Amino acid sequence: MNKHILIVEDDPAISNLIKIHLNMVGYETTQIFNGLEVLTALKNPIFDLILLDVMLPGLDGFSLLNHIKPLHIPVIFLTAKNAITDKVMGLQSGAEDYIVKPFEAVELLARIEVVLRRYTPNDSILHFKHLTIDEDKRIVKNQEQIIELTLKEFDLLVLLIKNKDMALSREYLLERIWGYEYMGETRTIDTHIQKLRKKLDLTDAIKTIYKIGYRLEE
Amino acid sequence: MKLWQKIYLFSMLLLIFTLNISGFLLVQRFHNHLIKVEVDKCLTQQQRVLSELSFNTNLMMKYSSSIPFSLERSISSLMSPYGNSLTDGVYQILDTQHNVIYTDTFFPVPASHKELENLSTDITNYIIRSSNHQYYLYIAQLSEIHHTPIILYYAKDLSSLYAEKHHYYNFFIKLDIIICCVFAFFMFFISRLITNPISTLITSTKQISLGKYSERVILHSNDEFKILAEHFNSMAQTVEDKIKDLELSNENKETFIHNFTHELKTPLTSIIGYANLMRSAKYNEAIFIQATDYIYTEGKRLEQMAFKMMDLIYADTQKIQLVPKDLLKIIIDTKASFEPKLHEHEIEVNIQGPSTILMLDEILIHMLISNLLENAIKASSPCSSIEITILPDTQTTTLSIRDHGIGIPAEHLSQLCDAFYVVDKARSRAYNGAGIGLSICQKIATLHHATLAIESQPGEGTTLLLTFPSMCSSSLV
Repeated sequence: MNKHILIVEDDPAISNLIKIHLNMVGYETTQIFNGLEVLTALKNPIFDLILLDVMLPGLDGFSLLNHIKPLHIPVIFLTAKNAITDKVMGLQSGAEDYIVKPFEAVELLARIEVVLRRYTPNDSILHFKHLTIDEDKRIVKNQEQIIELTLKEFDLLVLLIKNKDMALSREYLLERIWGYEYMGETRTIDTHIQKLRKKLDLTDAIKTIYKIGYRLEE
Repeated sequence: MKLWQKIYLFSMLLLIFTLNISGFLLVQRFHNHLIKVEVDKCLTQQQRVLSELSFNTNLMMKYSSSIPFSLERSISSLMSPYGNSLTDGVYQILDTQHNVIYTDTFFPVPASHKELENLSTDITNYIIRSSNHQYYLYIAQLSEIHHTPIILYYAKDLSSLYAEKHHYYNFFIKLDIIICCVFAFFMFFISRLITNPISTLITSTKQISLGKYSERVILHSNDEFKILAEHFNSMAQTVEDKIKDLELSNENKETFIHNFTHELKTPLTSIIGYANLMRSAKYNEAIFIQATDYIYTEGKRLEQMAFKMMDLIYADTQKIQLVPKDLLKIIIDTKASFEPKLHEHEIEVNIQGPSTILMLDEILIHMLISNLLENAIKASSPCSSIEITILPDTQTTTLSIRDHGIGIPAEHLSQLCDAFYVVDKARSRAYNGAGIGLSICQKIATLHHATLAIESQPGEGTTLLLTFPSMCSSSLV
């Protein structure tokens, strides 16, 4: 049931870093470090998404993309080059998105999420402990009982669940939920977190991380 | 105003000015001369008339002593042959009170008599008067005829001379206009012709200033403009060469920075990523150890790269002083500093060759041999050997470093000395390599006027050949 993501990255340190983050939020992963090996792996395509480095030994990312296209597997490019030509070339050749190294883990996860939702739009039910969340209908159920949440509280909950076990900074939450233009203070986050804890009985699950922000733990 | 317009205008003005002044002066001078000649002629005539009159009067007195002498009558009869027309001159004879004793018919009586004042026997007054566009010369002279003082008053019409002057003026103005027109016509083309090379120069300089550095001036003249154009062209050539050099070096720098940033980003991505993982994720011992290990090794890689970069910059900016040094001694010293590493990998280094004095910078050569030795060690498998050989010759001294390691595929050989170029990324990472070492070696070799050549067979090993120019007094000990 869990999504399976192929990580094609020749630097083991970065590859492992991505793997750890993806596993943490519940994706299954396969790591490949060489361009040519990807071709072998594609013979049995069980992947829902491929993270593809551009500069690879053996066969580079752009060439690989031509082999991946017929399989209709979405691709996100990982690139250390932020030259505009590379981006344009990447997107023109049919990648869903690209992300420039060095990147933030939450940003990578957010982009993976967006691409995956675009490809499988039906899957919008999230589970967390006793909670069931329907993203499309915007309903939260505690067991079978529907709990009323405000718009922002709902968004905040979804974001926390999707990045569970990872600390999210107040600034990041503010930016994602209230948008860039929101000029309010980070205390707004604190009050919303308090309400979530109370309404959903998540006092222990939502941890306050000193100096950083909040983390949802199972 | 354009230069040709200036040349044209000023030469025109100058011509008009000088031509008119000289023309006017010439006519005036000529006219004055004519007047003077005329006046002199009249004065002479006056003298003649006077002496004739005096002589004739005396003669008359002698022969007609019976007849009572009348001055008026005798003068009238004596003067009648003179003064027939105004153009030849007419006479009046006056007494000292300016009463007319005798007058010719056409004598033009002037309005004033200034010339009649202050007369004495040895002073002759004359004046030129104009009235109604007529010019008259008046000459007055005091004389004594038969003990009676009389004034001989002479008048002559000079209008023809003045008319002539006007005629000359008219002629001159016509000539003036024709000359100016001809001058203006030719000067227009001449000034354009002279300044034409300047417009060519301007067009070319404009092109160059717009960035077309290959533009050259082409002039078909043999004057200073030609020289100027030649100098200008050689200047443009220098600029073009310089710009090309700058562009090339800029391109190289850009590539270097591009590669450098890339090399910097990869370890940084790991370090930042793992650090962030540790501070934000729930504690998990296995992940924690893995993360700290990655942070440490990637940090080490960055450090190694920073050192190499410093070496590269050192080799690049150092003002080197080449002094005679023993190459063998430097090699032995360098090998000594590698002992622990050699021991660890169980690699043997054999040094062969005589002690050779060359013009060297000890620090840089040490750096060079370190890098080459390091590369050789990385390529070698444990329990193998590395041979360092010095081959002195009359012209050149060759230093060869030979390993029996993995070797380098032929297609990589040409790019090996480019900064950040690595043959096997994974292998290079394992040794904290960033692909700068050979780039440093190449720089140092160039500074020593030496050449760096690489020979390699995959699977058999690599030989690096450094060829130094020998000292004239290359000593073999």
